[in-house]
This record gives sequence, C-alpha cells and structure tokens, in this order.
Amino acid sequence: MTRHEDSDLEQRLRADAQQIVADVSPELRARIDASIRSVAPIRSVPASRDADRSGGPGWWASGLTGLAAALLIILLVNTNRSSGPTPDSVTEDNVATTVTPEVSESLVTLPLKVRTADLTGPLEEELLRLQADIEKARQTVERDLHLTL
Amino acid sequence: MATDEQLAEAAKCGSTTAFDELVERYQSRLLRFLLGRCNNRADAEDAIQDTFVNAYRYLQSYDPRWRFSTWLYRIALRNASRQSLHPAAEAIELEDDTDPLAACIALSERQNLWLLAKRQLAADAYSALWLRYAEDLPLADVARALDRSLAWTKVSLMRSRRRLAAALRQQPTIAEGNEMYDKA
Repeated sequence: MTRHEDSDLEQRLRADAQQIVADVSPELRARIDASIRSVAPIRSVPASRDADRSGGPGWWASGLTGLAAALLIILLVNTNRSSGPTPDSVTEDNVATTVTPEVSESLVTLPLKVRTADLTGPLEEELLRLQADIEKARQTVERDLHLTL
Repeated sequence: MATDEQLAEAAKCGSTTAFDELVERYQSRLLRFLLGRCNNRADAEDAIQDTFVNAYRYLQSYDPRWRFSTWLYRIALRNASRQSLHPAAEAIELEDDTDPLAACIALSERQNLWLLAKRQLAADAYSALWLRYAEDLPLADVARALDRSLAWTKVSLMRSRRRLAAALRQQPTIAEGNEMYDKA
C-alpha cells in the first residue's frame, strides 16, 4: 500500500462518514431529555485509583497485621515440631526386617529404613501400616513357594 | 461560541442549559457512530440515551485536560459494548436483515467505506478508525477513548487501512456495490 493510496483512503473515509445521515428523531430526543431530568448528577466523585495507591493508615495496619500473622504461624510450626517425633524416635523395631534368607533373595529389597526427619505423625503411622502389609504379602509369597515346592 | 469544554464546566456547576447544548451538538455524531457499532437501530438508540444519562450523572469526573468528545465517546463505547453483550429482547424480535448503518447511508455512485469497515473489522478497530477519521481525534485521544495504548492504536489503524484497501481491490465492480445499496 503506497503513501498515495493511504492518503486517498483516509480522504475517502472522511468523505464517506459525511454520507451517513443519522438524525435523532424528536421522540428519541424527548426520551433522552426525560432520562436526564430523572437523574441527578453525582456530586462526590469517588477517589481515583492513584489516590488509593498512595497508601495511608490502612496500608500500615494491613502490613502490620500480616507480619504478626506470619510470626504467629512460624512460632506455632516450630512449637509443634519440637513436641513431635524426633528423627531418632523411630527405632529399629519399627522397620521391617527380612526373616527367611532363601525367600529374601527372590524379593526386591525395599528401602524401608527411612530417616524420619521430615515425617510427621500420620505419615509414620501410614509407614507402619505399609510395612505390616508388606510383611503379610511376604508371608503369603513364602507360603505359596512352600506349597509349590 | 462556547467550546465543549466550557459548556461541560458550566454543566458541572449546575447549568442544565449548557448540558442541553452539549446533547444538541453530539446527538447526531454519536448516533452515526453507534449505528456502526450496534446490531440494530434500537440498540444504538438505547446506547445513546445511556451515554447522555451517564455523562450527566458522572459529569464531575470529567477531566478538562482532555477533550469532552474523548470522554463522551469513551462512555458511548462502554454502552455500545454492553448493548452488544445484552441486546434488548424486543430489539431481537424486531430485528430485520437491514444493517442500521446501511439504512442511513445516502445512495451514491460507489460503496461507502464505513459499511465495508463494519463488515471487515473488529469492533475496536472500527471504533479506532471512526474516531480518527470521522471525528478527527488525535491519536492520543483515540487511544484514551478506547482505553488502549498508543502503540495498539497506531498498529490497529494501519492494519485497518491495509485491510480496507485489500478489500477494495478484491471488489469486482462498482455496480455490485450499488446493487447492495439498492437492497438496503
């Protein structure tokens, strides 16, 4: 599109806009006037967004509340951690052990000796339940092997 | 003769006569614009009514650093968009196949570009083109009325002109364009 074409198009747009004849009918004008008379101008204009962004006591109050809430959460988390199980609280008794040497060779060794540093109470219970399930499964496999042999 | 901005200031101070003068100045201009934005004349008339009512209600928020027309068209655009989203039920029933813009275009020897623009361009692109060339608003005012960036406005205008030029080149004959007007 050349500059000349562009200029022609702009002129044509201006000229064609003048070709559009849209007169407001007296009925529409009466409607508009009646609507305007039925409302009152709002005198107090709400503050602009820029003014809201400038801050004030509200901003400081919300900031301090947030800070206090964050400190409280940190304190609570640390308190619970110190009263909960320590990494050394899981003994060797809680860890599954292999019993039958000949069967143990055919089973996959599971990494059950878990460091509990990151475990919480419910997770430890779940681990014990899983270990019990594995023990049951191991016994079932052992019994089946005996039956087969 | 008072400028639009002076009349707006007077209206702000409570002069209903000043606001009536503004309505008188803008009613036809706004209707021409809204006919290109709305699907039917009823929606355009509802939009123009809402535009003047909103302008009167929120006149205190008008910033005289900008042209009054920019502020008014910004309100009109919002109302036009609302009408497009929620067309009145009775308007749908009454709607016929006639484009409200086509019905207002005088018969001429060639096709009116605004009718082509309405069919070829998206609503915002059409509005930008109208405000720039039919209303002769500066680019910054067009961008402000549309709540778009200056860069978007420039690019939109350039693309719209290219698209219109391409559409014009593709049109086979002028006679077909005239037939279309005859139907309208």
